[in-house]
Amino acid sequence: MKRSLLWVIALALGSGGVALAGQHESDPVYVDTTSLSGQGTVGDPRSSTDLHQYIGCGVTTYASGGSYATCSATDATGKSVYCYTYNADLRQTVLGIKGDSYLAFFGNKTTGECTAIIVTNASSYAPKR
Amino acid sequence: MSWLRPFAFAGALVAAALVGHAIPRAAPPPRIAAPICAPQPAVIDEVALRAAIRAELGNLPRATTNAATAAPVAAPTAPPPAALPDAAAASALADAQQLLDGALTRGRWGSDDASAFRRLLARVDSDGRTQLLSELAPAINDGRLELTTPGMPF
Repeated sequence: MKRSLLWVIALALGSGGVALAGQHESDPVYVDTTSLSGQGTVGDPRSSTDLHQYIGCGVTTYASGGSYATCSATDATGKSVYCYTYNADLRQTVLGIKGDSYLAFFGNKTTGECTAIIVTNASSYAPKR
Repeated sequence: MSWLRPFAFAGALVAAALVGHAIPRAAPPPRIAAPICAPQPAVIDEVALRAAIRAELGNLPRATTNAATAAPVAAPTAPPPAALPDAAAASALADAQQLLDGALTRGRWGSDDASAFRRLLARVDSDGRTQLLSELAPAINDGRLELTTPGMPF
């Protein structure tokens, strides 16, 4: 009786080990060319099995004046979206992207300008490997 | 009758002059410009001249004499030159536009396009940069340009 109780406790602890590892989220890059949006975790596309997936943003600043941010995403099928912005708040947001960020950006399809950039840094997202 | 010969010659001359026959005459002398004489330097009594000027200035109304210290009159200045695009920036814009047009013709945007565009974009002015980005972005988004470059388009 005592031995079986120990087995039960050990089994419970063993199965609970998965839960103790925390939440894991992994999203492939999603691209919507109709609404001009790209979303996905920054850490995962690099280790994806296809050759296309990519998501990221960057900021470029010129000493002569002018600074803009661009965001780009390509899904597993090779479909891409891209936006740019001179908006200072959006540029600042881009600087917050890390290897374990979830990134989503939206833009104006006609002009190509970014309208929103969402950066979420959370433990649930796998860091870039 | 030989004594009449001089009278006959003189009469012929008068008759010829009256009917307008050209009588050899000397050409008129070339017109000479009226001489300009250098004015003789006047002898000026500087002390007297200064005194006269001071006296005249003293007679001017106060408002006139104070004009210089009143509201400053803006000196006429040349209008600022119109903002002309820098030649190097204009050249870079033309090259970048050509690069973009070529990629649109091919329908692909590769790594070579990306690196060349990045270099050119650093040399164009802000208006040109906006023009190029506003052409590149919609071309990618509506599928006219397929990205074959790994990562960012440039």
